Amino acid sequence: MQKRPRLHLRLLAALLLAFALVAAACGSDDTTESTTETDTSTEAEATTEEAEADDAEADDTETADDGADFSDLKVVMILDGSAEDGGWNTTHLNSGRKMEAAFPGMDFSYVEEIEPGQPATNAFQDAVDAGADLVIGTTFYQFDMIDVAAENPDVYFLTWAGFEPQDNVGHFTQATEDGRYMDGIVAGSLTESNIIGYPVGFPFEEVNRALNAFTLGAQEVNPDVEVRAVYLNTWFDPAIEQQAAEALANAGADVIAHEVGSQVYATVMAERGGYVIGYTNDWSDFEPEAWASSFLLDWSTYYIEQVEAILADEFVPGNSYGGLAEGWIDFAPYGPAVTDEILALIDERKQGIIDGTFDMFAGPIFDNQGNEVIPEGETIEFADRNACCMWLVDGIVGEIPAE
Amino acid sequence: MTTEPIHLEVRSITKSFYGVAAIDSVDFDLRGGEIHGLLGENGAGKSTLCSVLSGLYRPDSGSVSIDGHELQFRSPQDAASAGIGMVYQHFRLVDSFTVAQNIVLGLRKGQRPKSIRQVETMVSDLADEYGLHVDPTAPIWQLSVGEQQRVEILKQLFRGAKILILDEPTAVLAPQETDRLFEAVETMVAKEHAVVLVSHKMAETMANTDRITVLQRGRNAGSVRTGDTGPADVARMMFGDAKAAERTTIAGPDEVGDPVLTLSNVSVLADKGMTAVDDVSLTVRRGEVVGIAGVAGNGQRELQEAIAGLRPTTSGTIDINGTDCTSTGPKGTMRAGLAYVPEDRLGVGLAPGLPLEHNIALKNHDRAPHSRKGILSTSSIEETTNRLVEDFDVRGNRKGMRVSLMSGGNLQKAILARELTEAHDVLLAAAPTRGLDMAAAAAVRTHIINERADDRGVLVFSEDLDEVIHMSDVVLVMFKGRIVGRFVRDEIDVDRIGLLMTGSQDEEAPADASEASIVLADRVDNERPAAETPPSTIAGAAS
Amino acid sequence: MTSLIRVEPRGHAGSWVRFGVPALALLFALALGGGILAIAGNNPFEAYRTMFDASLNGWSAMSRTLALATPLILTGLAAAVAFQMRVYNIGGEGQLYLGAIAASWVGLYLPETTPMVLMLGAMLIAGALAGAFWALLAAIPKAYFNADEIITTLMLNFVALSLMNYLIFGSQSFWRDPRRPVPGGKRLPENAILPSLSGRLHFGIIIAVVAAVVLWWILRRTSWGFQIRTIGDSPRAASYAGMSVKLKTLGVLAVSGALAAIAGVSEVSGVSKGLEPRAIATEIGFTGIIIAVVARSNPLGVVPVAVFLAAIATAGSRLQSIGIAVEVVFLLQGLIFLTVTAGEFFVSNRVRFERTAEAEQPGDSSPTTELPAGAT
Repeated sequence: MQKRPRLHLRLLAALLLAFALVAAACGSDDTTESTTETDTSTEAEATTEEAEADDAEADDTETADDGADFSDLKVVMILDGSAEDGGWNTTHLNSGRKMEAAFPGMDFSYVEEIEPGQPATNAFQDAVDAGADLVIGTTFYQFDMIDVAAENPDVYFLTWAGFEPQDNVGHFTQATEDGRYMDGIVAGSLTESNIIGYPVGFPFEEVNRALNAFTLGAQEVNPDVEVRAVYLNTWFDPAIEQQAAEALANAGADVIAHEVGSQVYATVMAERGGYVIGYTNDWSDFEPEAWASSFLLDWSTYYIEQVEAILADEFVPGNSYGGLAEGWIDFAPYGPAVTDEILALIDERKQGIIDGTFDMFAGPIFDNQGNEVIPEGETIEFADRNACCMWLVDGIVGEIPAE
Repeated sequence: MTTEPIHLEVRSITKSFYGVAAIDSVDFDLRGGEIHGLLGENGAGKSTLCSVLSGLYRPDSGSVSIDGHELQFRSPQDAASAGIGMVYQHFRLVDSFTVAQNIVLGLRKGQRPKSIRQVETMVSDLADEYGLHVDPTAPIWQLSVGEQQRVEILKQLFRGAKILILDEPTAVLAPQETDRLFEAVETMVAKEHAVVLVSHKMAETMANTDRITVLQRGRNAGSVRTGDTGPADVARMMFGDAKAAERTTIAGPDEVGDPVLTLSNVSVLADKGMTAVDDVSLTVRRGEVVGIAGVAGNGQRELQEAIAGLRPTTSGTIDINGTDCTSTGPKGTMRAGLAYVPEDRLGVGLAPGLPLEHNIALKNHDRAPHSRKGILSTSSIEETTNRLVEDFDVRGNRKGMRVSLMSGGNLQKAILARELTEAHDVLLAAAPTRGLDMAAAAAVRTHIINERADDRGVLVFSEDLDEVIHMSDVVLVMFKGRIVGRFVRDEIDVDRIGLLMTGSQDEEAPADASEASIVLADRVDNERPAAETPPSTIAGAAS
Repeated sequence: MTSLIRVEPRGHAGSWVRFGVPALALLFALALGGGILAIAGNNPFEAYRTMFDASLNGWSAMSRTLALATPLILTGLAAAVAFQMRVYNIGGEGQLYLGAIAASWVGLYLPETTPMVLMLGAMLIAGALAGAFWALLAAIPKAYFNADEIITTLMLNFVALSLMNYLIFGSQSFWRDPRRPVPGGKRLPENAILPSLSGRLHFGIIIAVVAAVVLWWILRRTSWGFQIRTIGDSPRAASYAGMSVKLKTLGVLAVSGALAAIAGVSEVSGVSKGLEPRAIATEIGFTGIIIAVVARSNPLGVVPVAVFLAAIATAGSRLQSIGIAVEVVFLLQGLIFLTVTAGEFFVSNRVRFERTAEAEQPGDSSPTTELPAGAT
């Protein structure tokens, strides 16, 4: 899940840029410097220097160690924010670069800062017009590209969190809960007050599901833990986030996990001597003392599988839902406070999910209103998880706001 | 410092704007150690003369010399270095700065003490010396109006002014502050400074000056020692020769008709909540021109606006042609038959940024033939405009041009064209010829007087006494929100009108009129035809 | 003696000034932009060629540009009509959301079989009313308590955004599609979608252009417009002529809100085809303010300015795809738009250099002119 603030006027931003004319012009040479380094493969890093130079011909001369030449394959990625946001879009771009490395000679390029709506539609159309074989939309672009996809049946599209079936479109959504459970284990082990703060944006299924998984993970190591959920009703607002973080800290929370949001959580927890759990961000360098953990995403497995399927003419449209077993979930380096014992437990649980021997949603599970939502012997199947949850598990203090 | 007191001589200064002389061959003489009153009606040229002295305007001809040396002022800085300092009626201070900061503001590096502490000490000393007490570290916004005025004076003294020109200094002051101001002025004069007191208030000028120079219509009307004269002489100098005015009076109709505008006991507040119009009653009848004379700022504007329905009344009733228009708003007064030529041509009478056609149709655009069912007929509006431009000789218009680019005379003719061609029974005209050249003014006056022949009533406000006398069948004098005198044609006494306008009683009044209280027992009621209320019964203290 | 730079309105601009200055400004912008592109290591000619191809060259490029211009024209008109009366409606953004919310409600509520004309008509009316209502929330305090409409309209934008976010992200509302993994609006039925004219260009452009012409006509040719323009020029002259400034404030803000809301209807019905906050909340309302300012509040001027802005914006992703960094793209877009609109300033104003002491000029148009001082 990714949401970004849209509180800027593009043209005014451009005006400011005009004043920073020289800086901007020179800056374009080293824009890739800030590309986030996660524990990605070395090939990915090797290719990051080609950020702008997506000149297909240039790569022609130096194709393929194994003889395969993918220079006929053009892939365009459409990012809704900056490729250097250090989070969602950077993750996608890095995954794209891994894919690029897996298919030597592939013409991979991206456009960034594409707002949903007409600009996105135009960007998809531009990609098709430029001869793309595959266009990847990294945010909820479903309805912006639906007509373009219908009009261009020979071009393949992948778009995040889509759901309307189209023969040439693949949809992908990540099983956040697989990562969130592990983060919950870390949080549960670190809290001394047994109060964990969890500010979130809006109460809908995916958010609640992640929150439930997190709480279940925390409860596994610390049955007395209490997760205080606060719905902020905003996607991004550092001022409100700051207030929420401080209010939670004042209420005794010594670990704060959150959904989306800014670095203020890390700052507040560092001041208070508590811990922060990230959300698809690696802030281990930002506040090293307060840093605990964060799951990360890696889409490259999915991208590579789809490209292979396209090449083999075996593309399967529809939704893909992937977590640990599918290789979509990764983890940032753990903070110094996380014990080896906990790390061992996390490894065990990860393996359990991958093997299918561990199911976090195995019943009985009660919600925080006292209802049994998953009876003994039942669970939520992996494929059905998308529809969950409009309830919060027992142990979460907070309510889904009334409708 | 010179041993001889400073001596300023102005010889034959002329300054014109757009071919109209604002001051014409004016002489002025000023010596250190005297308070010199500069008197005159609005538009008499006082401000222009002061602006020449303070270096703001360059005269077309004539000379200014100090102690025998002729000087050319190219800027206010030149005048300041010659020792002339001007204190404007509207202060030029930065609210958020302190007194000391304001005093050094605008001084060049070399002229300015190095530290603000030093300035504060110097200002403090200066304030003690002249009795102009004010805290040099206080920000301006914390100060009263009187204190701010002291800062302005200190600013000039700080810069070494030997001649101080005070423009209407008492207009903004409370009585106690006025007293303190004149004490300070006395101190300055005792230190051989020369002070010019610009005013149109007779009483305070008589009470506080050594000499008086009167300007009338841009020319010298005389220069006298205050002790050698009385208010009546000065008033005569200000307002001109009564006989001359009477000779130009246009003969009125033989009889007047029914009332078309009746005000009964009307009171109106000014913007700031003070009473501006105090219990005014008057009647205008068909075939009659009633003129209201008075110095600006005595409630005329508020009274005009109240009659036009633009300003609420606090008491009394306004009747236009048999319709009670006390609270009907401007639309109601228009419907009842009021045509209104306002004081502000641009901004009230006309929308300055819009073309002439738009302004001609301003009031009747929503009626046939200019519009039907809310849709405008541009051809009808254009035709009307062309016709009125022809009939009223409005010049300088180009199609689509904003009216603000036209000259004042043509603007006024355009307003008159609009107001007089629409059906109406009474015309309210305020300062109808102000700022117009002779020809345009004459044309405007003719249009107004012709209303009388058409059996309509006219109420005209003007600060130009000659004009009022020239046009009116009945002259009312307004002072401090009240009608303080009523004169019918043939009985007009210019000297008395002049005295009433300035708040003086008559020539028998003591020179120190600020202390005289003049009593008017009952209000002037001009419904009694030809009955002149004796001015000896005028109420209200002159300031 | 100091020199002064004096800016004064031109009474009338000759055709050389009118067309020559913007053309020169455009050339200047292109030259400057070319320099920047060259410094950034891009080929300026290729870049300009791409821009032209992407937004203006041929009908398909034009239709993209016009599609993007559609809501911009409407929000530009919304701002322009208010500016005509010197009322500053900064709330076009929020009024647009309200229009989108109301129109999508109607589109989802009416039976799918409702004839398209009725359906779209109902959506337009509902959207316009919702926008007018939202604007009146600021207009009433403005008219009766003199509350600053800049503040109130601006604050109402945030309320509208919160409302729209709540309907989609914060609740299981009528608008929200329960099937979706990420919250979003239900898709509108076929009859609730503005028909396509060509590719992405939909019927909304006709609504927008007609609205511009009609608004121009209303302002120029009706007594209501006459009064709006009078109040805009001089509220005191308007009062003097018996016009009700209060009622016109309500009226003009209602019309402004309705126009902005129609932009929302057009977006929800012609583009996103459902209440999609992230596709709707893209600052179309704020951009309309810029357009109105550049068009000098002239409804007929809003159309070309919006199209021009859309043409520049449309080229953005194409420029990126030829390898120009996104920062340079934004810089170039901003530069061209600002330079050309700055050129417009010189069309309508004359800049003179003069000396203070001789500061005398004809006409009493300028407040700085010396006048024979009336009041002493």
